[in-house]
Amino acid sequence: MPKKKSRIALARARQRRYKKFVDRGPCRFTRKEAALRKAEQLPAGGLLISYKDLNTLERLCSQQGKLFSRKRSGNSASFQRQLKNAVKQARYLGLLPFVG
Amino acid sequence: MFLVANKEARKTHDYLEEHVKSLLDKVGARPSRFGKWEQRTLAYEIKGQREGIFYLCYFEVDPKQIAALKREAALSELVLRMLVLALDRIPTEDEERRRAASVEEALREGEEVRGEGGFEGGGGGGGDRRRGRGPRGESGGIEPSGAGAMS
Repeated sequence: MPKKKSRIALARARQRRYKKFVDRGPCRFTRKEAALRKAEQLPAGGLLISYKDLNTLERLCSQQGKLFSRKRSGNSASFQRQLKNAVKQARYLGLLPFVG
Repeated sequence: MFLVANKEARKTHDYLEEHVKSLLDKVGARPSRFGKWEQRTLAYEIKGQREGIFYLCYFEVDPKQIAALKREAALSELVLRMLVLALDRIPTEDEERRRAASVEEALREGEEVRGEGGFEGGGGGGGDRRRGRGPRGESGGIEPSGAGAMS
């Protein structure tokens, strides 16, 4: 029977596992937004993700049509919210499936 | 955004445009940009239709008239779906194109620079999680499924 790990060892192992998700810095859309702002090319209202950006939405959804988690996609809260709304609007219009 | 039945559109494309415009006229909307966005196969069947034409229209209207517009669209047999969103200002075609390009670019750069988005090779992440599982077993977490599908 394998030796039971202590709670501290388990916590450390969990930290190591999560580190790769945590230490990624700002999300890709935030970085792009900052770059556009620096170049003074940022549109009024910031970088917005629309339901018409189907390629982007499909890339950030699983094969079943479910939006990837923040941990998995690395998106910031604000852009994840935008994506959520965009996916729901696209589903309503029949651009994306509700299931699979 | 108006989704119109493709079956009818094959016969009379202009008629459909006029039909959508007439819906807007009825509620006193002032369209500033109107045009066909795309014709595509739908992700699921809507009112027995597998295909549809999307019309994108930017218009100004009294907010109280939105309910009337929705009612008119619901009564119309040609309009399958309608989505009305509020905007602070109407973007030009050029602005819209640049915005879409920026979003695409951000997605691409994210994948190139850091391999961001476990969805590209995220199966590994899921695998690590399972290997590192403690004796008690942790429920929940990432589903490793979609990752394989991207290759």
